[in-house]
Amino acid sequence: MSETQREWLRRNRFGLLALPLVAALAVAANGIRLDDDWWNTGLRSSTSGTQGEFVRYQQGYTDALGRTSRTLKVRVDGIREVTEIPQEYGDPIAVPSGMKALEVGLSFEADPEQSIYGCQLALRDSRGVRYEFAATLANLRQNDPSPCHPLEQPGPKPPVFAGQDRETVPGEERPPTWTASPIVFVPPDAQITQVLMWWEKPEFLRVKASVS
Amino acid sequence: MLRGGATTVLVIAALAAGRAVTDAMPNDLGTQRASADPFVVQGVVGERTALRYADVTVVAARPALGIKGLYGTDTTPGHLLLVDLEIQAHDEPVVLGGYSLLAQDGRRYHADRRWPIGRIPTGVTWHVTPVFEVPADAIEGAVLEVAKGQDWWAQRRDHVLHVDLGLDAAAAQGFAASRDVVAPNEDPLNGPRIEPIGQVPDE
Repeated sequence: MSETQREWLRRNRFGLLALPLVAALAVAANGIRLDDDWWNTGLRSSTSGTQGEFVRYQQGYTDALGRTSRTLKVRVDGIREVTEIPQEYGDPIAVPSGMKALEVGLSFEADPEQSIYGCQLALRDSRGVRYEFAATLANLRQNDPSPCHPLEQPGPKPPVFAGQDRETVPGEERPPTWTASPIVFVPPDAQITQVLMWWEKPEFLRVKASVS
Repeated sequence: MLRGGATTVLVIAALAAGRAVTDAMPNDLGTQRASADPFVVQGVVGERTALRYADVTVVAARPALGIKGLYGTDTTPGHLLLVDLEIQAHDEPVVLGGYSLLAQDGRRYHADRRWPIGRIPTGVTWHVTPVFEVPADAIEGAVLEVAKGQDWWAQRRDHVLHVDLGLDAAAAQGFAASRDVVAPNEDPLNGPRIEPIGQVPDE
C-alpha cells in the first residue's frame, strides 16, 4: 500500500467506519413498510392451545379512546359435523351440496367489562388452507357480527368516536361465562387441524383441534 | 481544486444517468415503475389460470340491455357486458377489488358497483359475474382484467389476470344489438342463470 493510499484511508477513517452503519440505517428506515404491508396484514403471532383446555388470550389494541387490552379464556370443546343449519327464525336450512358444515363448540370466560366484540373465527386444515366463519354464505346463520359472544349480549362495544365510553348498551350485559357454536363451511375432504380466532391482526389464538 | 470539480461533475452525471434509466422504464399509469409493475398473466376464455391468490376461469361473456332489479328492470342507454367467472381462492379468503374491462382504445371500465362482488371464500368454487356498462365501441376486442384492486398500489408487484374475451367485430355487433334482460347473479355457490328472462321493449 502506497503512502498516498494510507493517507487517504487515514483522512477518511471516520467516514469509512460510519458507512456500514449508515447503510444499515438506510435499509432499516424502510423496514416500517414490512410492518405495514406484510406483518400486520396476516396472522403471524399466535397464542397456542389444545382442544378441551382453557387457554388464556390477552391482546393489547387501540380504539378511539386510546390504548387498551382484552383478556379472556377460551376452550374449544370440540368440532362436529352437522347436517342442517339452525336459523334464528324459521326452519333449519340444509347444508349446500359439495360442502361440509362443522360446528365449533366454544366455551368462554371473561370479565363482563372486557370488549370481546368483533372477533373472527376460522378453521385451518392440514394443507394450511383457512376456512373463515361467514365467508361462504351470508344467509345461513352466518350474519352474526361475531361468532364469539352471545348474539343478544355482546357486552361492551368498542367506541367508534373519541368521547364515547367503553360501555355496554343496557340489556346487552354479557354473563361472565358463556358458550358459542358457530358453523364453518369446509370442503368434504378437508382435514381440520386448528381453530383460529382473532381480533386485530397480526395476533391470533390457535387451538389444535380435530373433528370428532 | 480541479479534482474536486471533476468529482462533482462525475456525481451529477451519475445522478442524471440514473434518472434517465428510471424515466426510460415502462410507465403505464404515470405512477408505475418497474419496481411496482404487476405481473400480468394472460389467460384464455374457458381455461383456468392460477394466480398467486386464486384460480380464475372466464366461463363466458354475455350481453344484456337490462338487469332485473328490486323495482323493475335497470336498463342503460349504452350496453351491458357480463362476464361469468369461476374463482377458487387458495389459502385464505380473498377480496378481488379489481374487475375491469380494458377497451381497445385504451379506456378502462370498472365493474358496476350496483352489482358488487364480495369476498371469495376458500374450499369452494365461487361463481361471480362482474357487470360492465359500456358504449358499443368498447366491446370489440375487450380484455377482462382481474386483480386484487383497481389502482396501481393494490396491484403492486402482484398477479393481474388479462383475458381477451375473443369478441371480434361480428360478435361485438351481436352484443350491441342485444335487448336481453337478465337476472343478477345472486347464487355464487351454484352460478348465475344464464338465459335471458325477457327483452327490453323497443321505444
